[in-house]
Parts: sequence; C-alpha cells; structure tokens
Amino acid sequence: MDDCGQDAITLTERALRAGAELAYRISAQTRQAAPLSALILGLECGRSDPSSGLVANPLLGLIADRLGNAGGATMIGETTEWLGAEHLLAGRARTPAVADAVRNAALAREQMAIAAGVDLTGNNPGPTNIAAGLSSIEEKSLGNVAKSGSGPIEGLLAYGEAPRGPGVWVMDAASYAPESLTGFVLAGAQMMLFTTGVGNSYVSAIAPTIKLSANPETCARLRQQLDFDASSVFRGRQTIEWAADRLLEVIVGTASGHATWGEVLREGNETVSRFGAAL
Amino acid sequence: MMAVTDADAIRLSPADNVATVLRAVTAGQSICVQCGDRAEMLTATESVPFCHKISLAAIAPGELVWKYGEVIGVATGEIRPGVHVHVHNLASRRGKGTR
Repeated sequence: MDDCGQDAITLTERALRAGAELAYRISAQTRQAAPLSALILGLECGRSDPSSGLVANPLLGLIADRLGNAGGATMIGETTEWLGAEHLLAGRARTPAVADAVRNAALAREQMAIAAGVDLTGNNPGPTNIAAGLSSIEEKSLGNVAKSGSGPIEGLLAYGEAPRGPGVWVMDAASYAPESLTGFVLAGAQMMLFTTGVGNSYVSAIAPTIKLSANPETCARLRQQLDFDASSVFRGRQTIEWAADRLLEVIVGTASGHATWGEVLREGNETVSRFGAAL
Repeated sequence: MMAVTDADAIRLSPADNVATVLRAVTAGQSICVQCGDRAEMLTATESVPFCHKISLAAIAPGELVWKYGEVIGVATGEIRPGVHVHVHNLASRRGKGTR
C-alpha cells in the first residue's frame, strides 16, 4: 500500500495486471517428468487423536525416510508439539549446534505459553484432542514428532525458511495448521501430507494437501475429505510398510496431477503468522 | 510403531505403565494387551473409551506415566491397575511455569 499511495484501487489494478502476466506465461508450461528428489513435502497433523501417534504419523515418518533416501526434503513444524519429545529430535540432529537450536526453540515456545499465562493442557492438547484421548502435550508431541521418521534432523528453519538440502528439517512455527501450512508453502513445499484423527477439512490453497487418517470411524465417515485411508493398519490388517508403499503411489499420483479432495472441493486458504506466532 | 495386532489394547514399550485401547472397553472386561511379540491379559475395572489409555500397574501420586517408552506426564492421584488414565488423574509437566 505504501508503494500505491495507500490507494487500494491502484494496488488492485497492479495485482490484476501482474496476475494476468503470470497466467499468460504459465499457460505455455507443460507437464514434465521429475525425480522424487525434486519433492519438498510439508508434514502436518491436525485434530489429532491417539491413532495419529500410533499409525498415521509414523506412516509419514516412513515417507520422510524414503523421500530423504531418494534425495527429497521434508519438514515438520508445530514447535509447541515438540515439548516432551524435543530430546528425540535433538538426539537425531546432524550437528550439536542443530541439537541446541531445536531444544532452545522448544523451550522458547514453552516460555511463550507461560508468559501468556496459558496452561497448555486445554489449549494444546485442545478440547478435541482431549476428548479423543490425548492427555498431555508430551503425549501429543511424541505422536507428532513420529512424522519426522528416523533420519538425521538436518537443521532448524525459521518460519517460511527454505530447506538448504535434502532430508528432514524442522521449522520453528505455530501449531495452528493454517499458519503452519503457509510456512511450509513459503519454504518451497509443493505438497502437504496432513494426518488427522477425528477429521480436519483445512488444506493449503497453493500446495495440494494429501489428507489421511488411521481412525477407522473417521475414514468411514469422511470419504470425500481423506485422500488416503490408513485404518487397515490400525485394525491390524496390513503392515505400516504396506501402507507406506501405497501412500508413496498417492504422492506420485498427486505430483503427476491427480487432484486431492481439497482441490476438488476448492477448500483451502493461506495464513501468514504476523504478530508473533500463535501457540 | 504399531505391529499388526488383533489385541484389545497395545503397550508401545515394555517401559510403559499405560496401554492404548484399540476398541472401547467396559468395566469388568478381560482384555488382551499386546506388547511387541507378547500379549498379556488385564481386567479393566473401569470403562475406557476408544483410543484412550488404561493403566497396566499401580501408579502412585507423583509417579511418572510412560507411553512410547517416554514420559507423558505425572499421576495426580492414586491410579490402580485397569483404570482409565486421562486428564483427571494425569497432568502434563510442561507449559505450566511450575516444571
């Protein structure tokens, strides 16, 4: 607005012209083959329940391992949801400096809660998490960090900062899914893998968001929300490795143009953290 | 990480003193708790909702509660074996300014 003399109509006109130029140039692009190593994935969880920590998040952990081995990159964020599990992330850090950065980011986020006079229990885990059976932030965090798999933690990213190479990265960011997903988009993620326990229709407006759950009731109820059903692993009918093979096929299919339910239903938004990240 | 199981509940680590029930459990029910390759029987003395936690041992007030082989909080009251473990008898140790 400063560049437009605070005139919203001038700003809108410039945006329309820039958008039209972009659409004109994009129209000449055609789909091309690309290796798995070209993928950067944001790993998110929302409205989690204990099935998330048992199956859905460890499933993303297997994907993080496989993509890392193939030369791709993954990111987890939601710093508050490292509390009680930050020693596991720090223990996998590529360097001692990364371990310190991870621990300090978690402690700083905990101090934000304390300074705000917030008791995390009731806030994170929130009422939905608690009703579903998650009792403490430690329990939720231990499920959350399973998304990062078993490989080295390459580094701590600031909100929206791009990974500096392949492997698993951790972003110091808000746990609120809209802010978290936008942080991954800013960092260059082309796709999101988003686990849910009881259901969560939110997706990124920019990066196709593959929604998945392992809760059998949720999978049966939200057929047009969930792009991947991991409930057969929860019910003990399939192994988690089998599910990882199938999920990788869905990821490749989505990267090749298959629409996610979020795209079909035109859900989604982007929300940038502004006045300090929300807890 | 979870194994293929037909059990009623899963204990994720031998260090754990709670298990997660994989289907809702009613008071008095005898349930099969899986831990790795082993399974053991436990009597539920309270009903436990789907995916919530059940105690596997007596846990005294102030004792740590373990799941995933990690600490998930501290007992705030006497927890007998076979009861529902949740926010009424377990408290987080983080984000309170009292750690």
